[in-house]
Amino acid sequence: MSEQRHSKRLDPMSTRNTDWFWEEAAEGRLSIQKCGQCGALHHPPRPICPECHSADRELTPMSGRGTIYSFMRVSYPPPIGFDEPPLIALVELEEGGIRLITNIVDASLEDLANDAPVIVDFEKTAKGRSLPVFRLAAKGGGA
Amino acid sequence: MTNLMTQCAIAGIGQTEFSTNSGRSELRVACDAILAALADAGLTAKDIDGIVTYTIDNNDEVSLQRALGIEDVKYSVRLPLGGGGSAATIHHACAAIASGAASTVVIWRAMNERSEYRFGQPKEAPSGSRINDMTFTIWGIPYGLQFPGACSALGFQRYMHKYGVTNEDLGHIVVQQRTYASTNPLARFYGKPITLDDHQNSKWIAEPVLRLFDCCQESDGGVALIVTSRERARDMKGEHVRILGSAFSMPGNTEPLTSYYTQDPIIMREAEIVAGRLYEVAGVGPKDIDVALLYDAFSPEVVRQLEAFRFCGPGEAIDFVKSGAIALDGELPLNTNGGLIGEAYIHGLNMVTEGVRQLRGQAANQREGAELVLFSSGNGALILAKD
Repeated sequence: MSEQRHSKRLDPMSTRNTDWFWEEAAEGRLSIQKCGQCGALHHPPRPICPECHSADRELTPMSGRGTIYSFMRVSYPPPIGFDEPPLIALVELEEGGIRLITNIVDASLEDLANDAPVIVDFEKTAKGRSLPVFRLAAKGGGA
Repeated sequence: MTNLMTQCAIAGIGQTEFSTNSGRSELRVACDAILAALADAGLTAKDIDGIVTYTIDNNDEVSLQRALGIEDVKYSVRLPLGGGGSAATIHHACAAIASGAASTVVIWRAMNERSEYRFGQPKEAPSGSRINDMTFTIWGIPYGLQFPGACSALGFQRYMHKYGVTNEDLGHIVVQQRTYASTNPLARFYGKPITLDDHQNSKWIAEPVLRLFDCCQESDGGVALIVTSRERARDMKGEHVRILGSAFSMPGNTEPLTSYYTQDPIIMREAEIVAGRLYEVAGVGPKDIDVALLYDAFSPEVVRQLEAFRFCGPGEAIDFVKSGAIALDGELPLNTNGGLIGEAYIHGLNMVTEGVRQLRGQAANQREGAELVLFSSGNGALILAKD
């Protein structure tokens, strides 16, 4: 894992159901909730499994590889925490069935395409929390 | 056995002016809209025994009751899902009336969302008591997904990719709605039509999906409706319209504007389910509708609802619009008050007043002989009819 980049980003809201996601990111892991009973993956996190209602939650690291489902550059009104208009995307993880709201970093809008492969990276907020972000795999982001 | 849910009526409509600064409290705006609706129906506050609004309305029930002098409230409920719940307020008012829980229900939405706070601007955190695990507040804010317009655009980009649609295509919807608004004296954009060039020259909100002119107008203002049984409505002063049918749906894993986790985020699943229920209960189909009023917080939502309500096939909405179908002389005049984009963003209730005006023959852009009007806010919808 490379040194995490710092940014002016806002922290994610802290809740009892979701804090673990960002704590995993601080350790350099993109983890998704997996039900300890039935094995189903779920995102966003929830206190119990909607299939079997088990509260047994396993934080399961993903490969960090995925594809861009959709994307855009948000410029006005300027989002808080960014010097430049951020590239916001829905990324579909290769494990299947999971989409994340995220940013594509080190790219311009013209570089982005639906279904383009991406790989996870991590970035710190202004206050030091860690967020999973993604970069284009074709631009040398893959290791 | 008669479905009593289909035996209700809107007996009165009321509103304030729509502006950038109401100059008075939100509670006063609510009172003004409700008093206008009561006057339209020929009722007084003492006739109200049910009150319904949205969870996002800031006005407290007790304060409102105290201000208006409502003697006894037998039924009170708030509907979730932001603006998506707007048609649901009427659905639930009908349920209360059909069950006998209430006889005369007032529905309101009143706010100073332009002068006191900016409803559609970037947020650092959710406001008020709505600190739940909402998608965009928890998962979007650190990534810059901080306001509703961006939420709408992110899902819709995939639709544009799939069907080869551009932002200029959306402009055709906006130009038509601004044309309607330009001849509607109640509209914020009265006297201000735009061309497709104007639309394309408005600034990007979220490239390549959404420009400024694709967005609704945050507005100060209030709207109120009086809902009662058809039987009682016949004895009231105002010209009532029948609520021929209504429906509501919250499909699992969906969420207004941020349904990113469903199998197919391109479609508006909640509206598809609502459409099926609505047409069945009302006993009519999409071809029977004379005017459609589709919740247009942002122009992509019009596309998604046109398809969900089967006014056209999947991926065909832009061609449908470009064919002239949504003009006043087209097969489906759409958002004839200018919509939330052209008239004002009173979270959908101002679409219902337009529906009533169409059926009373009093709309600024009147569809000749309109007999059936459909209003959808995604999670809820209704069909209004002459009675």
